[in-house]
Amino acid sequence: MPLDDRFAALLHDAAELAPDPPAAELAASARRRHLRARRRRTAVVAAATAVVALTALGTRLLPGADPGPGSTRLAPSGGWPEGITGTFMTDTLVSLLPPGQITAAGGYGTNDGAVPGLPPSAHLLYDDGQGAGMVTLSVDRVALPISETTAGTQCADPVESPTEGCERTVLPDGGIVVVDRLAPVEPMKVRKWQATYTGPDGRRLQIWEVNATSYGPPLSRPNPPLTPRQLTAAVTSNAWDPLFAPGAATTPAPGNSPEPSGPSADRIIATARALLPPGTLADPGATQHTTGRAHLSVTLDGRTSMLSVRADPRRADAASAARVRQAYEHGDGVDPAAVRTPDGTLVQVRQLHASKSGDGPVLRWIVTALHPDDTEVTVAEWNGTDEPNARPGTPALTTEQLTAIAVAAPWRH
Amino acid sequence: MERTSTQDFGEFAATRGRHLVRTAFLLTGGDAHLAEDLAQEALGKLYGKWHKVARMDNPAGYAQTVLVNTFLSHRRRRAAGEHVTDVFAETPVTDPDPSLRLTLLRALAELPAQDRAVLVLRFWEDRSVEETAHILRLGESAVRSRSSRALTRLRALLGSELDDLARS
Repeated sequence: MPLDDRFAALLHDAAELAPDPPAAELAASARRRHLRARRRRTAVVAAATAVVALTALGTRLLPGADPGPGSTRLAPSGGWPEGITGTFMTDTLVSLLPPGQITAAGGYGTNDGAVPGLPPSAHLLYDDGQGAGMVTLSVDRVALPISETTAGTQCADPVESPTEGCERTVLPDGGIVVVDRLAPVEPMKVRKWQATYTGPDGRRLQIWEVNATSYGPPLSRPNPPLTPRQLTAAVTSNAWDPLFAPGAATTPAPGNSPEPSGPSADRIIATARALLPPGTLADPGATQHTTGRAHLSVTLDGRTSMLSVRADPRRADAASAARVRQAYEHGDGVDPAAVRTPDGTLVQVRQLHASKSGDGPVLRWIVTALHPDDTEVTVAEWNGTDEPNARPGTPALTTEQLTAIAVAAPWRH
Repeated sequence: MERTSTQDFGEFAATRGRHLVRTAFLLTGGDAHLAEDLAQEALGKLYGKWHKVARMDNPAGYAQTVLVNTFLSHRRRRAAGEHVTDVFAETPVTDPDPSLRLTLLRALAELPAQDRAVLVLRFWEDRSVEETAHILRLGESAVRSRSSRALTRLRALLGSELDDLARS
Protein backbone atom coordinates (compact mmCIF):
# COMPACT_ATOMS: atom_id res chain seq x y z
CA MET A 1 0.00 0.00 0.00
CA PRO A 2 1.49 3.39 -0.96
CA LEU A 3 2.40 5.78 1.83
CA ASP A 4 -0.45 8.10 0.87
CA ASP A 5 -3.04 5.36 1.25
CA ARG A 6 -1.52 4.11 4.48
CA PHE A 7 -1.56 7.58 5.91
CA ALA A 8 -5.21 8.12 4.96
CA ALA A 9 -6.12 4.86 6.68
CA LEU A 10 -4.13 5.90 9.74
CA LEU A 11 -5.92 9.20 10.01
CA HIS A 12 -9.24 7.39 10.05
CA ASP A 13 -7.99 5.09 12.80
CA ALA A 14 -6.71 8.01 14.85
CA ALA A 15 -9.94 9.98 14.39
CA GLU A 16 -11.77 7.19 16.18
CA LEU A 17 -10.17 8.46 19.37
CA ALA A 18 -11.96 11.81 19.05
CA PRO A 19 -14.60 12.70 21.63
CA ASP A 20 -18.23 12.10 20.71
CA PRO A 21 -20.32 14.89 22.22
CA PRO A 22 -24.12 14.54 21.95
CA ALA A 23 -25.27 16.14 18.74
CA ALA A 24 -27.97 18.24 20.36
CA GLU A 25 -25.50 19.57 22.88
CA LEU A 26 -23.06 20.47 20.14
CA ALA A 27 -25.76 22.35 18.24
CA ALA A 28 -26.94 24.18 21.35
CA SER A 29 -23.38 25.16 22.24
CA ALA A 30 -22.83 26.44 18.73
CA ARG A 31 -25.96 28.58 18.95
CA ARG A 32 -24.82 30.00 22.26
CA ARG A 33 -21.42 30.82 20.84
CA HIS A 34 -22.93 32.62 17.91
CA LEU A 35 -25.26 34.64 20.08
CA ARG A 36 -22.47 35.46 22.52
CA ALA A 37 -20.28 36.64 19.66
CA ARG A 38 -23.12 38.70 18.24
CA ARG A 39 -23.75 40.23 21.65
CA ARG A 40 -20.07 41.08 21.97
CA ARG A 41 -20.09 42.72 18.56
CA THR A 42 -23.22 44.64 19.47
CA ALA A 43 -21.59 45.75 22.70
CA VAL A 44 -18.50 46.92 20.85
CA VAL A 45 -20.59 48.87 18.36
CA ALA A 46 -22.72 50.29 21.14
CA ALA A 47 -19.65 51.26 23.13
CA ALA A 48 -18.10 52.95 20.13
CA THR A 49 -21.35 54.75 19.41
CA ALA A 50 -21.60 55.81 23.02
CA VAL A 51 -18.08 57.18 22.97
CA VAL A 52 -18.90 59.24 19.92
CA ALA A 53 -22.15 60.45 21.44
CA LEU A 54 -20.56 61.31 24.75
CA THR A 55 -17.79 63.18 23.03
CA ALA A 56 -20.29 65.15 21.04
CA LEU A 57 -22.26 66.01 24.14
CA GLY A 58 -19.25 67.11 26.05
CA THR A 59 -19.31 63.97 28.22
CA ARG A 60 -21.77 65.36 30.71
CA LEU A 61 -23.17 61.93 31.56
CA LEU A 62 -21.53 59.74 34.11
CA PRO A 63 -21.16 55.97 33.96
CA GLY A 64 -23.74 54.15 36.04
CA ALA A 65 -26.29 56.91 35.88
CA ASP A 66 -29.95 56.02 35.62
CA PRO A 67 -30.69 55.35 31.98
CA GLY A 68 -33.72 57.58 32.11
CA PRO A 69 -37.31 57.13 31.20
CA GLY A 70 -36.74 56.83 27.48
CA SER A 71 -34.49 53.78 27.71
CA THR A 72 -35.62 50.27 26.99
CA ARG A 73 -34.49 46.87 28.14
CA LEU A 74 -34.08 43.88 25.95
CA ALA A 75 -36.44 41.03 26.70
CA PRO A 76 -34.40 38.64 28.84
CA SER A 77 -35.48 35.46 27.12
CA GLY A 78 -36.30 36.41 23.58
CA GLY A 79 -40.01 36.27 24.20
CA TRP A 80 -39.99 32.82 25.77
CA PRO A 81 -41.39 32.62 29.30
CA GLU A 82 -38.73 32.75 31.96
CA GLY A 83 -38.31 29.85 34.31
CA ILE A 84 -38.55 27.08 31.73
CA THR A 85 -35.71 24.75 32.61
CA GLY A 86 -33.95 22.03 30.72
CA THR A 87 -35.26 19.62 33.31
CA PHE A 88 -38.82 20.69 32.55
CA MET A 89 -38.22 20.07 28.86
CA THR A 90 -36.71 16.64 29.43
CA ASP A 91 -39.22 15.54 32.07
CA THR A 92 -42.16 16.68 29.96
CA LEU A 93 -40.91 14.83 26.91
CA VAL A 94 -40.31 11.68 28.95
CA SER A 95 -43.78 11.92 30.50
CA LEU A 96 -45.33 11.89 27.03
CA LEU A 97 -43.55 8.76 25.84
CA PRO A 98 -44.78 5.18 26.28
CA PRO A 99 -43.03 3.08 28.95
CA GLY A 100 -39.48 2.29 27.94
CA GLN A 101 -35.86 2.85 28.82
CA ILE A 102 -34.63 6.43 28.67
CA THR A 103 -30.92 7.21 28.44
CA ALA A 104 -28.72 10.15 27.50
CA ALA A 105 -31.56 12.59 28.21
CA GLY A 106 -30.87 16.30 28.16
CA GLY A 107 -32.68 19.54 27.60
CA TYR A 108 -32.33 23.28 27.35
CA GLY A 109 -34.68 25.76 28.91
CA THR A 110 -35.12 29.46 28.38
CA ASN A 111 -32.60 30.58 30.97
CA ASP A 112 -29.93 27.94 30.55
CA GLY A 113 -26.49 29.03 29.56
CA ALA A 114 -25.06 32.47 29.25
CA VAL A 115 -27.32 33.69 26.49
CA PRO A 116 -31.07 33.87 26.89
CA GLY A 117 -33.48 33.69 24.04
CA LEU A 118 -32.66 30.28 22.65
CA PRO A 119 -35.68 28.14 21.87
CA PRO A 120 -36.03 25.33 24.42
CA SER A 121 -35.30 21.78 23.31
CA ALA A 122 -34.93 18.25 24.61
CA HIS A 123 -33.20 15.11 23.41
CA LEU A 124 -32.87 11.52 24.60
CA LEU A 125 -32.48 7.93 23.59
CA TYR A 126 -35.67 5.91 23.88
CA ASP A 127 -35.76 2.12 23.85
CA ASP A 128 -39.05 0.25 23.80
CA GLY A 129 -37.18 -3.02 24.17
CA GLN A 130 -36.49 -3.39 20.46
CA GLY A 131 -33.46 -1.10 20.31
CA ALA A 132 -32.78 2.53 21.20
CA GLY A 133 -33.50 5.43 18.88
CA MET A 134 -32.57 9.09 19.14
CA VAL A 135 -35.53 11.38 19.83
CA THR A 136 -35.23 15.16 19.62
CA LEU A 137 -37.83 17.81 20.35
CA SER A 138 -37.59 21.41 19.24
CA VAL A 139 -40.04 24.28 19.56
CA ASP A 140 -40.50 27.66 17.97
CA ARG A 141 -43.21 30.04 16.90
CA VAL A 142 -44.53 31.01 13.52
CA ALA A 143 -46.19 34.18 12.32
CA LEU A 144 -49.96 34.31 12.53
CA PRO A 145 -52.27 33.51 11.01
CA ILE A 146 -51.08 30.06 10.02
CA SER A 147 -51.92 29.07 6.48
CA GLU A 148 -51.17 26.44 3.87
CA THR A 149 -47.89 28.19 3.13
CA THR A 150 -46.73 28.31 6.75
CA ALA A 151 -43.51 26.32 7.01
CA GLY A 152 -44.09 22.91 8.52
CA THR A 153 -47.73 22.55 7.57
CA GLN A 154 -47.24 20.47 4.43
CA CYS A 155 -45.81 17.04 3.78
CA ALA A 156 -42.22 16.87 2.63
CA ASP A 157 -41.72 17.26 -1.09
CA PRO A 158 -40.71 13.76 -2.24
CA VAL A 159 -38.48 15.25 -4.92
CA GLU A 160 -36.39 16.92 -2.24
CA SER A 161 -36.72 14.23 0.44
CA PRO A 162 -37.56 10.67 -0.56
CA THR A 163 -40.54 9.74 1.56
CA GLU A 164 -42.05 6.45 2.64
CA GLY A 165 -45.26 8.06 3.83
CA CYS A 166 -46.85 11.19 5.19
CA GLU A 167 -50.00 11.97 7.15
CA ARG A 168 -51.35 15.51 7.30
CA THR A 169 -54.19 16.23 9.71
CA VAL A 170 -56.09 19.45 10.24
CA LEU A 171 -57.43 19.52 13.78
CA PRO A 172 -60.82 20.97 14.77
CA ASP A 173 -59.15 24.06 16.24
CA GLY A 174 -57.29 24.77 13.00
CA GLY A 175 -53.98 23.35 14.15
CA ILE A 176 -52.10 21.16 11.66
CA VAL A 177 -50.10 18.00 12.33
CA VAL A 178 -47.79 16.58 9.70
CA VAL A 179 -46.02 13.25 10.23
CA ASP A 180 -43.35 12.55 7.61
CA ARG A 181 -41.73 9.16 7.33
CA LEU A 182 -38.59 9.93 5.38
CA ALA A 183 -36.78 7.22 3.49
CA PRO A 184 -33.14 6.39 4.25
CA VAL A 185 -30.69 8.34 2.11
CA GLU A 186 -27.00 7.72 1.58
CA PRO A 187 -24.66 8.13 3.31
CA MET A 188 -26.51 8.44 6.64
CA LYS A 189 -28.91 5.56 5.91
CA VAL A 190 -31.13 6.30 8.88
CA ARG A 191 -34.92 6.19 8.67
CA LYS A 192 -36.21 9.48 10.06
CA TRP A 193 -39.75 10.10 11.19
CA GLN A 194 -40.85 13.55 12.23
CA ALA A 195 -44.06 15.01 13.56
CA THR A 196 -44.66 18.74 13.33
CA TYR A 197 -47.55 20.43 15.08
CA THR A 198 -48.41 24.01 14.19
CA GLY A 199 -51.03 25.38 16.56
CA PRO A 200 -53.55 28.13 15.87
CA ASP A 201 -51.73 30.27 18.45
CA GLY A 202 -48.51 30.08 16.42
CA ARG A 203 -46.80 27.42 18.48
CA ARG A 204 -44.80 24.87 16.60
CA LEU A 205 -43.40 21.71 18.10
CA GLN A 206 -41.48 19.11 16.23
CA ILE A 207 -40.21 15.73 17.33
CA TRP A 208 -37.94 13.77 15.06
CA GLU A 209 -36.62 10.31 15.71
CA VAL A 210 -34.33 7.91 13.92
CA ASN A 211 -33.67 4.18 14.05
CA ALA A 212 -30.18 4.71 15.44
CA THR A 213 -28.61 6.22 18.53
CA SER A 214 -27.13 9.04 16.48
CA TYR A 215 -27.90 10.55 13.10
CA GLY A 216 -26.09 7.84 11.17
CA PRO A 217 -25.02 4.20 11.19
CA PRO A 218 -24.95 1.80 12.89
CA LEU A 219 -28.70 1.28 12.81
CA SER A 220 -30.23 -0.05 16.00
CA ARG A 221 -33.60 -1.22 14.61
CA PRO A 222 -35.60 -1.27 11.35
CA ASN A 223 -37.86 1.70 12.17
CA PRO A 224 -37.70 4.52 14.71
CA PRO A 225 -39.19 3.53 18.07
CA LEU A 226 -42.25 5.81 18.28
CA THR A 227 -45.27 5.32 16.05
CA PRO A 228 -46.81 8.26 14.15
CA ARG A 229 -49.72 8.18 16.60
CA GLN A 230 -47.34 8.39 19.58
CA LEU A 231 -45.41 11.22 17.94
CA THR A 232 -48.64 13.10 17.29
CA ALA A 233 -49.79 12.70 20.88
CA ALA A 234 -46.49 14.07 22.16
CA VAL A 235 -46.33 17.18 19.97
CA THR A 236 -49.98 18.14 20.45
CA SER A 237 -50.03 17.63 24.21
CA ASN A 238 -51.12 20.56 26.37
CA ALA A 239 -48.22 19.68 28.67
CA TRP A 240 -46.24 22.15 26.56
CA ASP A 241 -48.63 25.01 27.36
CA PRO A 242 -46.22 26.66 29.84
CA LEU A 243 -43.92 27.37 26.89
CA PHE A 244 -46.64 29.33 25.17
CA ALA A 245 -48.23 30.99 28.12
CA PRO A 246 -50.59 33.92 27.51
CA GLY A 247 -48.66 37.14 27.52
CA ALA A 248 -45.58 35.64 25.96
CA ALA A 249 -44.50 37.20 22.73
CA THR A 250 -46.14 35.73 19.68
CA THR A 251 -43.55 36.80 17.20
CA PRO A 252 -41.33 34.17 15.57
CA ALA A 253 -38.47 33.08 17.75
CA PRO A 254 -34.92 34.40 17.37
CA GLY A 255 -33.14 32.67 14.54
CA ASN A 256 -36.44 32.12 12.81
CA SER A 257 -37.21 35.61 11.68
CA PRO A 258 -39.19 35.30 8.50
CA GLU A 259 -37.52 36.13 5.24
CA PRO A 260 -39.76 37.61 2.56
CA SER A 261 -41.75 34.73 1.14
CA GLY A 262 -41.01 33.77 -2.42
CA PRO A 263 -43.50 33.18 -5.19
CA SER A 264 -45.86 30.22 -5.05
CA ALA A 265 -44.94 26.93 -6.67
CA ASP A 266 -47.60 27.50 -9.32
CA ARG A 267 -46.15 30.85 -10.24
CA ILE A 268 -42.62 29.47 -10.41
CA ILE A 269 -43.78 26.61 -12.63
CA ALA A 270 -45.60 29.01 -14.94
CA THR A 271 -42.58 31.30 -15.20
CA ALA A 272 -40.19 28.42 -15.79
CA ARG A 273 -42.43 26.85 -18.43
CA ALA A 274 -42.40 30.08 -20.42
CA LEU A 275 -38.59 30.16 -20.32
CA LEU A 276 -37.95 26.58 -21.44
CA PRO A 277 -36.35 26.04 -24.87
CA PRO A 278 -38.85 25.54 -27.70
CA GLY A 279 -40.01 21.96 -28.00
CA THR A 280 -39.49 21.11 -24.32
CA LEU A 281 -42.22 19.08 -22.66
CA ALA A 282 -42.76 19.98 -19.01
CA ASP A 283 -44.63 18.06 -16.34
CA PRO A 284 -44.77 19.42 -12.79
CA GLY A 285 -46.64 16.35 -11.55
CA ALA A 286 -48.96 16.60 -8.55
CA THR A 287 -49.84 19.89 -6.91
CA GLN A 288 -46.88 21.38 -5.10
CA HIS A 289 -47.36 23.31 -1.86
CA THR A 290 -43.89 24.77 -1.53
CA THR A 291 -43.25 28.49 -1.44
CA GLY A 292 -40.32 29.96 -3.32
CA ARG A 293 -39.41 26.75 -5.09
CA ALA A 294 -40.89 24.12 -7.37
CA HIS A 295 -39.84 21.26 -9.58
CA LEU A 296 -40.87 19.96 -12.95
CA SER A 297 -39.86 17.09 -15.19
CA VAL A 298 -38.59 18.26 -18.58
CA THR A 299 -38.14 16.28 -21.79
CA LEU A 300 -36.19 17.55 -24.77
CA ASP A 301 -34.73 15.62 -27.69
CA GLY A 302 -35.73 12.33 -26.09
CA ARG A 303 -34.01 13.01 -22.78
CA THR A 304 -35.90 13.51 -19.54
CA SER A 305 -34.50 15.21 -16.45
CA MET A 306 -35.83 16.88 -13.35
CA LEU A 307 -35.55 20.63 -12.87
CA SER A 308 -35.68 22.29 -9.48
CA VAL A 309 -36.23 26.03 -9.57
CA ARG A 310 -35.90 28.31 -6.59
CA ALA A 311 -36.64 32.03 -6.57
CA ASP A 312 -35.78 34.08 -3.51
CA PRO A 313 -36.65 37.74 -3.23
CA ARG A 314 -34.15 40.18 -1.82
CA ARG A 315 -33.41 39.49 1.83
CA ALA A 316 -35.14 41.74 4.30
CA ASP A 317 -31.96 42.32 6.25
CA ALA A 318 -29.75 44.75 4.35
CA ALA A 319 -26.56 43.41 5.89
CA SER A 320 -27.49 39.88 4.92
CA ALA A 321 -28.28 40.96 1.38
CA ALA A 322 -24.92 42.72 1.18
CA ARG A 323 -23.09 39.60 2.34
CA VAL A 324 -24.79 37.51 -0.31
CA ARG A 325 -23.85 39.98 -3.03
CA GLN A 326 -20.28 40.10 -1.76
CA ALA A 327 -20.09 36.30 -1.83
CA TYR A 328 -21.21 36.34 -5.45
CA GLU A 329 -18.80 39.07 -6.42
CA HIS A 330 -15.73 37.77 -4.66
CA GLY A 331 -16.39 34.10 -3.91
CA ASP A 332 -17.07 32.79 -0.44
CA GLY A 333 -14.38 30.21 0.20
CA VAL A 334 -16.30 27.43 -1.52
CA ASP A 335 -17.55 28.86 -4.77
CA PRO A 336 -15.45 31.14 -6.94
CA ALA A 337 -16.51 34.64 -7.89
CA ALA A 338 -19.49 34.81 -10.24
CA VAL A 339 -19.54 35.95 -13.86
CA ARG A 340 -21.32 39.24 -14.51
CA THR A 341 -23.72 39.48 -17.43
CA PRO A 342 -24.18 42.74 -19.39
CA ASP A 343 -27.28 43.66 -17.36
CA GLY A 344 -25.44 43.18 -14.07
CA THR A 345 -26.73 39.75 -13.13
CA LEU A 346 -24.11 37.61 -11.37
CA VAL A 347 -24.06 33.97 -12.47
CA GLN A 348 -22.41 30.87 -11.06
CA VAL A 349 -22.45 27.58 -12.97
CA ARG A 350 -21.49 24.42 -11.15
CA GLN A 351 -21.37 20.72 -11.79
CA LEU A 352 -21.50 18.41 -8.81
CA HIS A 353 -19.76 15.08 -9.14
CA ALA A 354 -20.51 11.81 -7.48
CA SER A 355 -17.71 12.34 -4.94
CA LYS A 356 -16.62 15.40 -3.06
CA SER A 357 -13.11 15.05 -4.43
CA GLY A 358 -14.48 15.81 -7.88
CA ASP A 359 -14.12 12.26 -9.14
CA GLY A 360 -16.89 10.26 -10.71
CA PRO A 361 -19.61 11.34 -13.09
CA VAL A 362 -21.48 14.60 -12.84
CA LEU A 363 -24.79 14.11 -11.05
CA ARG A 364 -26.17 17.64 -10.81
CA TRP A 365 -25.92 20.76 -12.93
CA ILE A 366 -26.67 23.98 -11.07
CA VAL A 367 -26.91 27.58 -12.18
CA THR A 368 -27.37 30.32 -9.62
CA ALA A 369 -28.10 33.90 -10.59
CA LEU A 370 -28.21 37.02 -8.44
CA HIS A 371 -30.22 39.60 -10.33
CA PRO A 372 -29.62 43.35 -10.14
CA ASP A 373 -32.60 43.69 -7.77
CA ASP A 374 -31.04 40.97 -5.54
CA THR A 375 -33.59 38.36 -6.53
CA GLU A 376 -31.73 35.05 -6.40
CA VAL A 377 -32.69 32.25 -8.78
CA THR A 378 -31.31 28.73 -8.65
CA VAL A 379 -31.98 26.21 -11.38
CA ALA A 380 -30.76 22.67 -10.72
CA GLU A 381 -31.04 19.71 -13.05
CA TRP A 382 -30.50 16.01 -12.48
CA ASN A 383 -31.54 12.65 -13.84
CA GLY A 384 -33.96 10.65 -11.71
CA THR A 385 -37.10 11.22 -9.72
CA ASP A 386 -35.57 12.61 -6.54
CA GLU A 387 -32.52 14.70 -5.88
CA PRO A 388 -30.68 12.52 -3.35
CA ASN A 389 -30.72 9.62 -5.79
CA ALA A 390 -29.58 11.46 -8.90
CA ARG A 391 -28.14 9.29 -11.68
CA PRO A 392 -25.35 10.04 -14.15
CA GLY A 393 -26.11 10.66 -17.81
CA THR A 394 -26.56 13.46 -20.29
CA PRO A 395 -29.36 15.74 -19.02
CA ALA A 396 -32.21 17.13 -21.09
CA LEU A 397 -31.08 20.77 -20.91
CA THR A 398 -27.58 22.12 -21.32
CA THR A 399 -26.01 24.46 -18.78
CA GLU A 400 -26.43 27.26 -21.31
CA GLN A 401 -30.15 26.58 -21.39
CA LEU A 402 -30.28 26.44 -17.59
CA THR A 403 -28.43 29.75 -17.46
CA ALA A 404 -30.91 31.35 -19.86
CA ILE A 405 -33.71 30.36 -17.49
CA ALA A 406 -31.94 31.58 -14.36
CA VAL A 407 -30.98 35.04 -15.65
CA ALA A 408 -34.31 35.83 -17.30
CA ALA A 409 -35.92 39.13 -16.33
CA PRO A 410 -39.38 37.69 -15.43
CA TRP A 411 -37.99 36.48 -12.12
CA ARG A 412 -37.36 40.02 -10.93
CA HIS A 413 -39.80 41.83 -8.73
CA MET B 1 -42.50 20.06 4.31
CA GLU B 2 -40.56 23.23 4.58
CA ARG B 3 -38.29 23.27 7.53
CA THR B 4 -37.18 26.24 9.52
CA SER B 5 -33.59 27.37 9.56
CA THR B 6 -33.32 26.53 13.24
CA GLN B 7 -34.51 23.00 12.70
CA ASP B 8 -32.31 22.53 9.69
CA PHE B 9 -29.31 23.68 11.63
CA GLY B 10 -30.00 21.21 14.43
CA GLU B 11 -30.27 18.42 11.93
CA PHE B 12 -27.08 19.52 10.22
CA ALA B 13 -25.24 19.62 13.53
CA ALA B 14 -26.55 16.16 14.34
CA THR B 15 -25.45 14.88 10.96
CA ARG B 16 -22.08 16.55 10.64
CA GLY B 17 -21.10 17.47 14.18
CA ARG B 18 -19.25 14.27 14.90
CA HIS B 19 -17.27 14.53 11.70
CA LEU B 20 -16.35 18.12 12.48
CA VAL B 21 -15.12 17.10 15.92
CA ARG B 22 -13.05 14.33 14.39
CA THR B 23 -11.52 16.68 11.86
CA ALA B 24 -10.73 19.16 14.60
CA PHE B 25 -9.25 16.35 16.66
CA LEU B 26 -6.80 15.57 13.85
CA LEU B 27 -6.05 19.23 13.22
CA THR B 28 -5.18 19.77 16.85
CA GLY B 29 -3.00 16.71 17.02
CA GLY B 30 -5.32 14.91 19.42
CA ASP B 31 -6.44 17.73 21.74
CA ALA B 32 -9.96 16.56 22.60
CA HIS B 33 -11.03 19.70 24.47
CA LEU B 34 -9.72 22.07 21.84
CA ALA B 35 -11.30 19.91 19.13
CA GLU B 36 -14.75 20.25 20.66
CA ASP B 37 -14.13 23.94 21.17
CA LEU B 38 -13.18 24.51 17.55
CA ALA B 39 -16.08 22.43 16.26
CA GLN B 40 -18.48 24.46 18.39
CA GLU B 41 -16.96 27.71 17.18
CA ALA B 42 -17.19 26.63 13.54
CA LEU B 43 -20.80 25.53 13.98
CA GLY B 44 -21.54 28.82 15.71
CA LYS B 45 -20.24 30.70 12.68
CA LEU B 46 -22.43 28.59 10.43
CA TYR B 47 -25.44 29.22 12.63
CA GLY B 48 -24.96 32.94 12.22
CA LYS B 49 -25.48 32.73 8.47
CA TRP B 50 -27.48 29.57 8.26
CA HIS B 51 -30.01 31.07 5.83
CA LYS B 52 -27.25 31.17 3.25
CA VAL B 53 -25.32 28.07 4.26
CA ALA B 54 -28.42 25.87 4.16
CA ARG B 55 -28.95 26.75 0.56
CA MET B 56 -25.42 25.93 -0.52
CA ASP B 57 -24.96 22.83 -2.58
CA ASN B 58 -22.45 21.46 -0.15
CA PRO B 59 -22.97 22.84 3.36
CA ALA B 60 -20.87 20.02 4.78
CA GLY B 61 -17.91 21.00 2.64
CA TYR B 62 -18.33 24.61 3.60
CA ALA B 63 -18.46 23.61 7.27
CA GLN B 64 -15.13 21.84 6.91
CA THR B 65 -13.67 24.93 5.28
CA VAL B 66 -14.91 27.11 8.13
CA LEU B 67 -13.48 24.67 10.64
CA VAL B 68 -10.04 24.64 9.05
CA ASN B 69 -9.96 28.42 8.91
CA THR B 70 -11.13 28.58 12.52
CA PHE B 71 -8.27 26.28 13.46
CA LEU B 72 -5.70 28.33 11.59
CA SER B 73 -7.03 31.56 13.13
CA HIS B 74 -6.77 29.97 16.53
CA ARG B 75 -3.18 29.02 15.83
CA ARG B 76 -2.38 32.52 14.67
CA ARG B 77 -3.88 33.97 17.84
CA ARG B 78 -1.87 31.62 19.97
CA ALA B 79 1.28 32.25 17.98
CA ALA B 80 1.53 35.71 19.50
CA GLY B 81 2.12 34.17 22.89
CA GLU B 82 4.08 31.06 22.17
CA HIS B 83 7.05 29.85 20.24
CA VAL B 84 5.90 28.00 17.16
CA THR B 85 8.60 26.14 15.37
CA ASP B 86 8.49 25.26 11.74
CA VAL B 87 11.37 22.86 12.23
CA PHE B 88 10.39 19.28 12.73
CA ALA B 89 12.19 17.30 15.37
CA GLU B 90 14.29 14.71 13.59
CA THR B 91 14.22 12.30 16.48
CA PRO B 92 11.71 9.49 16.79
CA VAL B 93 8.77 9.96 19.08
CA THR B 94 9.05 7.85 22.20
CA ASP B 95 5.49 7.61 23.37
CA PRO B 96 5.03 5.34 26.36
CA ASP B 97 1.38 4.86 25.45
CA PRO B 98 0.93 1.52 23.77
CA SER B 99 -1.58 2.91 21.33
CA LEU B 100 0.07 3.51 18.03
CA ARG B 101 -2.73 5.81 17.06
CA LEU B 102 -1.69 8.16 19.81
CA THR B 103 1.79 8.06 18.38
CA LEU B 104 0.46 9.31 15.09
CA LEU B 105 -1.47 12.09 16.80
CA ARG B 106 1.62 13.10 18.70
CA ALA B 107 3.54 13.21 15.46
CA LEU B 108 0.84 15.28 13.82
CA ALA B 109 0.97 17.73 16.70
CA GLU B 110 4.64 18.29 15.96
CA LEU B 111 3.91 19.50 12.45
CA PRO B 112 3.42 23.17 11.64
CA ALA B 113 -0.28 24.01 11.74
CA GLN B 114 -0.61 24.72 8.05
CA ASP B 115 1.13 21.48 7.08
CA ARG B 116 -1.25 19.64 9.37
CA ALA B 117 -4.18 21.36 7.69
CA VAL B 118 -2.87 20.32 4.30
CA LEU B 119 -2.61 16.69 5.38
CA VAL B 120 -6.03 16.62 7.01
CA LEU B 121 -7.70 18.19 3.99
CA ARG B 122 -5.92 15.95 1.51
CA PHE B 123 -6.01 12.61 3.31
CA TRP B 124 -8.89 12.84 5.77
CA GLU B 125 -11.23 15.09 3.84
CA ASP B 126 -10.14 13.62 0.51
CA ARG B 127 -9.93 17.09 -0.99
CA SER B 128 -8.13 17.61 -4.25
CA VAL B 129 -4.97 19.68 -4.45
CA GLU B 130 -6.98 22.43 -6.11
CA GLU B 131 -9.62 22.48 -3.40
CA THR B 132 -7.01 22.40 -0.65
CA ALA B 133 -5.17 25.29 -2.24
CA HIS B 134 -8.38 27.27 -2.49
CA ILE B 135 -9.37 26.68 1.13
CA LEU B 136 -5.93 27.50 2.53
CA ARG B 137 -5.32 30.34 0.08
CA LEU B 138 -2.13 28.70 -1.08
CA GLY B 139 -0.81 27.96 -4.52
CA GLU B 140 -1.26 24.43 -5.77
CA SER B 141 2.50 23.94 -5.88
CA ALA B 142 2.69 25.05 -2.25
CA VAL B 143 0.07 22.47 -1.30
CA ARG B 144 1.99 19.72 -3.08
CA SER B 145 5.30 20.69 -1.54
CA ARG B 146 3.85 21.05 1.96
CA SER B 147 2.10 17.72 1.64
CA SER B 148 5.23 16.00 0.44
CA ARG B 149 7.37 17.63 3.11
CA ALA B 150 4.94 16.77 5.89
CA LEU B 151 4.68 13.14 4.82
CA THR B 152 8.44 12.90 4.58
CA ARG B 153 8.75 14.30 8.07
CA LEU B 154 6.14 11.91 9.41
CA ARG B 155 7.97 9.02 7.84
CA ALA B 156 11.23 10.22 9.33
CA LEU B 157 9.57 10.61 12.68
CA LEU B 158 7.64 7.39 12.77
CA GLY B 159 9.91 5.18 10.72
CA SER B 160 8.75 1.60 10.71
CA GLU B 161 5.90 2.48 13.03
CA LEU B 162 4.06 3.92 10.03
CA ASP B 163 3.91 0.44 8.59
CA ASP B 164 2.88 -0.97 11.95
CA LEU B 165 0.15 1.59 12.24
CA ALA B 166 -1.20 0.64 8.87
CA ARG B 167 -1.59 -2.94 9.98
CA SER B 168 -3.09 -2.21 13.38
